[in-house]
Amino acid sequence: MTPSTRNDDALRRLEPYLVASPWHLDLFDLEPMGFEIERVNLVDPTRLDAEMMFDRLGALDAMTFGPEGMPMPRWLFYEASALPGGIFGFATRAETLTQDLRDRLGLASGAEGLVPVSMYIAIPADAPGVWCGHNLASLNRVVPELKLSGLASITKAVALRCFRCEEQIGATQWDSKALFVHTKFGPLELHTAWTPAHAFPATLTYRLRVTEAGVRNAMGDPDAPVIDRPKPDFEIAADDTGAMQGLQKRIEAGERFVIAGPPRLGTDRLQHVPVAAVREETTTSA
Amino acid sequence: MVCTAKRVRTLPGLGAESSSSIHLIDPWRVSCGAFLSSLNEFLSRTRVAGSLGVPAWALYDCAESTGAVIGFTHGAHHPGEPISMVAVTPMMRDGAWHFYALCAREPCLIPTTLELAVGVVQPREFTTVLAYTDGLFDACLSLGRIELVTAWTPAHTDPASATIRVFPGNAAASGGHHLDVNARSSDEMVRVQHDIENGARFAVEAAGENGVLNLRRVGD
Repeated sequence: MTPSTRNDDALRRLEPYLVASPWHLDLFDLEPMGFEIERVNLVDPTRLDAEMMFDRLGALDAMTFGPEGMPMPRWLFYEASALPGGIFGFATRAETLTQDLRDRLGLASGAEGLVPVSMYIAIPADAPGVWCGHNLASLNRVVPELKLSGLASITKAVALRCFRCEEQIGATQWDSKALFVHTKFGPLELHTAWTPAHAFPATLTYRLRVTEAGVRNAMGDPDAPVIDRPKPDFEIAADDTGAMQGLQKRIEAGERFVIAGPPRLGTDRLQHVPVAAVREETTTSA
Repeated sequence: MVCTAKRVRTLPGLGAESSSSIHLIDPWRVSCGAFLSSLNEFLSRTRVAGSLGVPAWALYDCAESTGAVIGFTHGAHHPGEPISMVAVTPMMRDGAWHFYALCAREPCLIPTTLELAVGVVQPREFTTVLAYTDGLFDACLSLGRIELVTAWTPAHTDPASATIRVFPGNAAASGGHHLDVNARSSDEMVRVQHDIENGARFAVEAAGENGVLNLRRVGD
């Protein structure tokens, strides 16, 4: 049975899908949290008929990340996503969409089949059970009439279970709204606070322990256990690159920090991200 | 080699004497910044930007943080300027890896870079995607047995690409029957792809400069 979520109505209208190498399928949970992935929605990236799905995933990515300057080249959907790891999300069917929606989503008038409206992409990382999530997208803001509120968080939650992920690492920017999603899962341990290796140095790298409480909280389950969160010691403002670099120095010197909870929107209209130092007594559990 | 400290501890080839001259660059430390800037510049010069280009965030998320970027540098000062690289990222099964974005300032560096990566990672097998115009089949053929996973790949930016699985150190396949296909003919490669999807298995034996791919059909 699937848990209650913050948007059960949307999930009743949508279907889960998974794009992954066929030789990996036995390693996934194909009914994560009760969301059964129908056989016809298991897309094999090595087959000719995967072309349409990759076209539509590219469109979803372009509509979501194109405006932010970080769209993903098509070959990365194959080589750095589906082949080594997985692309999980929820989809509607083209046949159910109005002509206006088809036009806005770039679909031909006679188009059929799965149209992904959300996706989470992750690939195996530095140890068994550890994954790196590198793309989370939802058409909620692009097509508000589909009423997909909360779908990004729900998609990530179910995807982490599908991938049997125990720890998830990821990178995002200090001013990214995605922090509101990622912090729903629990405190995020910081590996970097200032990341020159990334296209945008004001990027943080985090590691999240995937827990039942975190996943259910992220989905909006009203019966989810409360997540233990440490009390923040300070905040980092999204434009304070000096503070980010200072924090990075302390991380490199061996200190540990977590993002304790969601950002606060200040009167300066900037995100202020709460950070707590990790002390033995503040190690969280959920 | 660019990889995290945690990844370094898992790479079997780093204990070898031959690896003692490998410069290790940690992408999670600020000190990596200058080298990684030059690596990203090198990548944008040697890969076709926009289609097969590798955005810096992708190299970070999909290689430097998960696996490694391995290659050679040149220059008097540590760590030097990058002149070749390959990105390696783990697959879901232990010992299986995916290699991508293999490129070099000079073609002669390609086989050596691949050998270096195989020596460090010591994969049981690795997959990679080669465009038929790449001229990179020979570099992979010298490493071991090759299985053709896709002959035509519409999921990729360049559908005229093959996904191959390389088994380093393994002898070439035997048995079955030999056939030559014209890798420059999309019709022929799509036919081979249909055969693969219907259960046929092919080993790659050689790739000629004239675009002919020598295959061995080893099973159904």
